[in-house]
Amino acid sequence: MLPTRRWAALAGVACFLTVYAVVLDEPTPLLAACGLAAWLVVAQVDAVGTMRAVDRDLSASVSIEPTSVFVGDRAAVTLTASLSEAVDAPVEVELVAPPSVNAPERARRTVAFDPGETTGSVTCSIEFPVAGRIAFDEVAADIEGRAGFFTETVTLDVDARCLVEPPAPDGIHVGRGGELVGTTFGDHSSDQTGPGLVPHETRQYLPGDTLSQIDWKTTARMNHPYIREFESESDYLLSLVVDCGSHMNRGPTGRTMLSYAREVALGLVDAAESHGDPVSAQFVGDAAMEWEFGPSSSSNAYQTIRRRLLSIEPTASPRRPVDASRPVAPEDARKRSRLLGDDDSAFATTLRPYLRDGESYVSRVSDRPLFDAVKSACSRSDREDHLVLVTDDSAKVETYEAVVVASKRSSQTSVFLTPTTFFDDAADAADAGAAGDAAGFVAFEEFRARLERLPNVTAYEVAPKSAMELATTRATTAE
Amino acid sequence: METPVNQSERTIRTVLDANELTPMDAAGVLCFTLAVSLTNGLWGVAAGVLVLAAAAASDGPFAFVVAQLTAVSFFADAGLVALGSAQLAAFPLLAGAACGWPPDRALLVRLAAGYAVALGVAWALWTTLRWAWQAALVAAVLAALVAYGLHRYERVALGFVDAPEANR
Repeated sequence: MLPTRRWAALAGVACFLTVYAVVLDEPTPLLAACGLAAWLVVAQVDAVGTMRAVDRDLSASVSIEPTSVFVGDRAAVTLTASLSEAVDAPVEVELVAPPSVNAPERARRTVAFDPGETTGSVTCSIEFPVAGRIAFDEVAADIEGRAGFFTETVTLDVDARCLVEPPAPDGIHVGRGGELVGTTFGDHSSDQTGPGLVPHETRQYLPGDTLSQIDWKTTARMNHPYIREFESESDYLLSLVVDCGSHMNRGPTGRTMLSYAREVALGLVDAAESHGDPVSAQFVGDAAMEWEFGPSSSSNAYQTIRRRLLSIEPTASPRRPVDASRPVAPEDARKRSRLLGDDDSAFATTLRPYLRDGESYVSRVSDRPLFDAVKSACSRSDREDHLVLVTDDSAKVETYEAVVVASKRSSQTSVFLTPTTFFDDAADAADAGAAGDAAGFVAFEEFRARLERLPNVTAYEVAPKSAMELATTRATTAE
Repeated sequence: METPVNQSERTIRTVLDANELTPMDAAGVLCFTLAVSLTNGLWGVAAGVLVLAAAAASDGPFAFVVAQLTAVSFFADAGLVALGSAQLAAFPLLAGAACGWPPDRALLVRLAAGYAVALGVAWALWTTLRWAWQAALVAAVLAALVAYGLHRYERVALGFVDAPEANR
């Protein structure tokens, strides 16, 4: 119980009258002082009664919507308080915000009961800048006595929790046609033995072999010393092309397509570093190349690319649309044109103009930054290289043509595609869109399979594990 | 920052309008004026006017304090009956400040009882103890003890104090 300034003023007057009585040696000021003291005591008794009543009758609850957010998001927190019996004193119930959240000022998270009121609620918007399980487990009720001489704060236990997740993908699926890929991306064999991790063969011990090379299990089984040889890794250029256009910003905060793409790219850089492979990186925006680096195999190079990967954000301007129809390579077009020959039928006459100008088809994508980036990445080195393209399936023509170029010019091409159908807002909406999702996934899978049919190309899907499992189930059901 | 209109136009009229004289205040002024004028004539009426002005100008215990200060002049060396009647006459002024209008009857009864007990204790101390400072000191200590006791009771009643601490 804390006295207010009003109490202090009145107590001060009573003290003055007491001293005045001593100075004058008169009883009247002392009687007046005692009269004021009686008022203060009676007000205190009244305040104690009010505080006990509020402590007994007040109940509060807190609800958070949504209960799971990402770092930096906001949630609506509602405080509802009620008194089983009205009290004749002002009561304010305040939502006590944990220190790790950004809460609005006190007035906007407080339910104020005027004398006679029994229920009230307030909803405020709270920002969560720190990850973790945030608990709202307390509300504070400020009670003021009727006379305004005393205040007290009582706390009530509530139980409301919000899970604040870090802005990082959780449960990433990298696979081919819904099947998880178990191997590490970026590993490659050289058909030569030496220091390495991939077992190559076992052979009998020969003088000069070191003790550490002995395979003790085989030795025990064969009753003769055997050694195990491993494949040595080669100097193998990793050319990383990461699409960071605005279309990669689809998805909830922290779990955008780019977040998943970033995880894959980071894994590839780690793999390259562990093998000591040189690496080059190109980050492609909507309109132009955003950043390029390498090739280099210095320890700084890996760190530089890693830092840049962690800091990239999707570019702002929307991508210029490229026809998303089923693409036909110029070579195929020319072949079909030749097949038509001198056919004078109406069908051939109508079709011929569409197949005649094969070069102009490629020119539609030749000035696109992703296509350019892949082309320039392929021409950087004449040694064995591994081109990795990390993008989505929103611009199929451009992606396909880029991969065609890569398949011809690189030793190995890997394409990591994030299916847009998993990240579209419409796809998240409701189960009503299940059929649409399944159709979207089937279309994506067709595109991925089409890419894989190109020589030296492996195409993977990169997606949230839960969405992938759901889509696989739906696609199976639809079939 | 903009100054509120009611503060910038602080006149006698606005102050009187803001501090409405309640029937309790009026009764207090009337009783006090009657008590003082019966013993002191016109000077008593003048004191009553002063208290009326204080009651009209403030809504707190200011009128009660002014009444007590004027009573010091009029009731020096007065007997128990005169002092008692003056204090009784001043009580409505205190009740007006404490209970407002209309007054909460239970609160008014508690205040009256407390007032009577406080005056009784003060008078007893004044007449029993030899020096004025002794009476003043004992009265102050008693008031402080009662307030502290209520404070401790409130801490225990609201569960702010654990049992071992409460027993100490």
